[in-house]
Amino acid sequence: MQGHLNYLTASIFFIVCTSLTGFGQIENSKAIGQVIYHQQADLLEGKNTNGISYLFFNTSASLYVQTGAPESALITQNLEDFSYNSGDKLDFSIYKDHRARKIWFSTFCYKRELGSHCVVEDTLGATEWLIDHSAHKRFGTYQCLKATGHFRGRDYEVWFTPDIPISSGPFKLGGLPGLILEGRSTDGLVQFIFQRLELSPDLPRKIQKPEGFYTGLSYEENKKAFVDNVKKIAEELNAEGGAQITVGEMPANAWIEVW
Amino acid sequence: MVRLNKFFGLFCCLVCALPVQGQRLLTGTVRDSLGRPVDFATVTLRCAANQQILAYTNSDETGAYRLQWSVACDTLLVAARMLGFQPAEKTCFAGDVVDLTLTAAPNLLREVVIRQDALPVSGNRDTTEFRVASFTDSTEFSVEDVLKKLPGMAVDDNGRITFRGKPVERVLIDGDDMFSDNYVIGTRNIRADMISSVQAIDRYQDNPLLRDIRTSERLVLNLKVKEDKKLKPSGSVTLGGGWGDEAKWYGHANLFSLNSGPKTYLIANANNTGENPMGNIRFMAKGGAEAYLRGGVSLQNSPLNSAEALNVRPPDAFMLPTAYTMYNRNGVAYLGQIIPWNTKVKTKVSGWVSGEKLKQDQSRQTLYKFSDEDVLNIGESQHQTQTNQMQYLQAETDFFTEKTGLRSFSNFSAQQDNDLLRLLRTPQNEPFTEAESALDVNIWETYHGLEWTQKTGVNQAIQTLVQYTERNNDGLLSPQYDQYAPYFGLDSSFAFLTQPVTQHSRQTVVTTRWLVRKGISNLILETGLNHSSHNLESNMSLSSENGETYTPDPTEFGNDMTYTQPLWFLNGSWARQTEQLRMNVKLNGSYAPVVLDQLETKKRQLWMFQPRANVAFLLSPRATLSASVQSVQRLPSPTNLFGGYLAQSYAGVRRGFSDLGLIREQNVSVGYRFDNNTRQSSFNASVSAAQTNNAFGSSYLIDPYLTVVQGFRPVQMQNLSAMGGTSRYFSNIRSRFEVGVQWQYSREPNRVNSTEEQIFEGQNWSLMFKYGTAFDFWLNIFVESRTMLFSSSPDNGEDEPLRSQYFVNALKLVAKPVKNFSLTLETRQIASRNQNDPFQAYYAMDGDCTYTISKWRSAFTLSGNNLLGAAAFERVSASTFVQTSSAVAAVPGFVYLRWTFQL
Repeated sequence: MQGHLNYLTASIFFIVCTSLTGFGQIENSKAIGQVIYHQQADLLEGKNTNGISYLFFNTSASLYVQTGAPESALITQNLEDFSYNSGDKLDFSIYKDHRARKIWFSTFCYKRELGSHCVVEDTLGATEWLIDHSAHKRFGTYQCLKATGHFRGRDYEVWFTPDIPISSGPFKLGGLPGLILEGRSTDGLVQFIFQRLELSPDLPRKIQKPEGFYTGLSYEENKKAFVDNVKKIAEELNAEGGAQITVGEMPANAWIEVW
Repeated sequence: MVRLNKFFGLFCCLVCALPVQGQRLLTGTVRDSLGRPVDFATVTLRCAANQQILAYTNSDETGAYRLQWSVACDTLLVAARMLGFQPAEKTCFAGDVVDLTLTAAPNLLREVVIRQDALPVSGNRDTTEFRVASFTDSTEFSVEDVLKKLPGMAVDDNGRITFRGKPVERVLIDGDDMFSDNYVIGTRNIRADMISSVQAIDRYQDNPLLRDIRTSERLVLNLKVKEDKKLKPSGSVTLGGGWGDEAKWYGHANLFSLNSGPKTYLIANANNTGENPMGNIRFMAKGGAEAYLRGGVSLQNSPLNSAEALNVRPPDAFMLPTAYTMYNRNGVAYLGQIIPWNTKVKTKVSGWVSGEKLKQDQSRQTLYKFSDEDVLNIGESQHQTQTNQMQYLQAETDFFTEKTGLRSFSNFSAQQDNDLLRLLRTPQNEPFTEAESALDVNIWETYHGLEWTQKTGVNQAIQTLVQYTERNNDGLLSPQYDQYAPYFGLDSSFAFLTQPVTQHSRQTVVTTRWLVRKGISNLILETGLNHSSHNLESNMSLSSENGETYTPDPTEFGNDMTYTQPLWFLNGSWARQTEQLRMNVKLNGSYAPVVLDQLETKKRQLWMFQPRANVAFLLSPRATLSASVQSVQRLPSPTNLFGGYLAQSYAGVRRGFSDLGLIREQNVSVGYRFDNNTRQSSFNASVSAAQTNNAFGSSYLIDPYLTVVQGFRPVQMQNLSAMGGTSRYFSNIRSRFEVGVQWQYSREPNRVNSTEEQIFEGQNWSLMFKYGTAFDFWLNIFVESRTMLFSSSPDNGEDEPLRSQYFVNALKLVAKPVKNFSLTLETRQIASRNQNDPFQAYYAMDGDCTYTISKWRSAFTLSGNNLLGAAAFERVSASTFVQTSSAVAAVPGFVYLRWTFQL
């Protein structure tokens, strides 16, 4: 009996110690690499974030920031088109937890009372990728494979490198056994063009969840809340009289993620 | 021990789930070299035969992993990877349990930096950015050389830039405007290697307080300086010398300090090799009157419309670089400084001095066609010498807080021009006659503007703008011509004419503006007073060799015009902007009690209304359909309102029309534009129509020796135009094509040697084709071809139209067989003809050969001009009822060597 207990105690201790140890020589929030992309979206709303974007990553998390976003914090609401133009001083950042397979991304709030930035939860790795082994592309010393998959209304083809075993990429793309260095939608409207890759223990950037009001909503729930809020405003205005407002569908070429 | 073995057997059964039918399974653990489990390592399974990835997953916190796949493969390779470790890989088979051990890498993370070429063209809302390195081959010297290679950019012979057909108003350097509308000094003299990218910013708003309130129609270019050039004072100095029919010399300096504190730019250029560093800016119409009509008065634009009654015109360059057709000596020195006093206040000061001397020998035959049976041919051979000096100084100070902005802008300019002509005039069937003419013009102008902006809310602001400008032009025309005497009925010794002219203008504008943005609409209301006064004095006298003088009747041959125009205005504009639609409606109303002392009724009270509307609809993120309509009522320019004759050249006099009446213009246009920045392709097409009523026409009285022009009204004119173009870059053949076509039709009345009006119809066609390669190897070529066709005839349906045709072709070869050596050769062909005559072609070739020695930070360039030894160039041009065939003596070929040293 005592031998069993000793074994169990040792096992528990061993399991606890290993789970606490792991690869802990670098802080969990510190970036150990960055990829710079040129994000180009020929979309009605999506083009507002065109420009240089950064993916900071370590083994457990990554952070995608879109520096092309306008700096103005002005929010305007167009009641007839129901579109928002809001600037984000935090560059519309997208945080990915690789282990938990979750995303937290910064976006405009579905109603003004919540503030200028809201953070919404999403799922990482929801895309089923098909790897095309016949295609290869080299970025510097890294040989990349091609993969295709569907994400939120668009088909994408991406180039990822298994030599950098980080399951992330630009925007909300990820879930491959390697870092995505370049990607584009097959309709030609969205591109993430590789510019630069840097691996270094000395990168100053920390990888943290975005700032803003955490709505607790998922992507689909947030989308629904936005549309519901817009319909509610339309109803209120129609009740006041004057011109009648109808809420239409968001055009397919408005955002990177098709609504 | 037996219990332990059973425990482990049960454990293995628990962790090894039964595989789904058809699914293959592989499990195991990932640990480090100390036996500790590695959490979240990437585990990949490949088929050893074809290296295809069959499955992948991540290890959990215990290091365990589980892989399932369905594709059959005999021998497998399972690999674990994690940053900071060497990858671990083993050969295995389906069903195995494979434990992998990761070994820490010697350097935890190595520093790896990999770069890729940036996109050549990228777009972000109203900004299109061109990465310079994608379009250049390092043979470019100035920024203008770079701009000519960017898709959608066009640079004319005077250095003025348009982007996608829209004129560029300013060229900024890293966001700062250092040149005002004289940006050609910057673009022709700033070195190309200083710039990393060029941004074309449409709807540019330079007042940060108004950025979310007011849209603008201004288009500016922003040159972004390379980061390494900002680290310390940088630049280059070039010195050169050579020989042709005279000694050649060249000097250029481009120095700047942008690292911290005040930013300083110094540009200097002096040469007699034909380079024109100023781009004829002294001949540009100054003033913001046109800008005012387009989009409103702005701080940096003087509102004065400064058309000159007497001015010096540049010699004709014959569609070639000026080095071929003019002897020159010119120089410019520019200094600019930006002084940031603190975070709120910044001052920009800049100024330049320039001097130029040009010489040209030209002969021409001018055909005046009054009808098929009545033509007059006049020949002229002339030697022209022109000198000018210019001085300019401007200062701008900006002060901005979160809600308040105060800006001031001032400039002062002075210009001294002298034009000397010696010529021989040979009218058809008449004796030849000699003439000599000297024209001296001295101009000074000053402008001051002060703008105060106050934000009264997130979306509201009020502005007050006060502007004052004053301009003075003293001209003196002194020709000697023996045809004056018979004209005035004098003794033949009265061959010397003297005509001084003084123009003085003053204008004060006070504008108050209220701006508000509500949702996607913005509203601007502005009111104020625009008070201008113009005075024109001229008189004419003749003198003889003996010193006797004669003064013609001053009421006929003199002017003392005073024009005063206080104009009260009220303007409103409403704009609505969504992502798909942009609409703009403007209504300008003004009341002007004008005083013109030459009228019988000296004072007129005139009301003017100008509605304008334009709309742009985004058919897609790349395609735009636009339309505009406007109705303009305006007063004639005061420089057309003088009643006495005024000599403008040795053989031409003109007088205006002393009457006031509103000129009415209606204009409508429709256009379509498609741009695909990613593929570097574009397409555009537009048509427009305009009608002008109550305008001035010209009445010509032409005899073999003198031409008299005077205005008459009212006339009605019509104009139609259509233009289109397309450009595309084909990456598979690495070549860029550009095609443009333009057609213009005009219909206007003139009186030509008759009191009867004759309607002339003219058509103008122009075609443009460009081709350029972007090969990776050592040779690239560029081809450009422009063809112009003109025809004009009276609308009587009887007379044969007057026609002319010319084309200019250019072929440029750029060879870079090795990194530090390049050879550029450019051959131009100009050819023209009139009526049914055959084309006559002339060829001009110039080239550069550059060798760079990096460790000396030097480049040596051997340049040659007119290498084919052309003796002369000819061209034909035509307008309305006049056709001119001109020939210019070419500057003989020369070579010179330049040494450029990079600081």
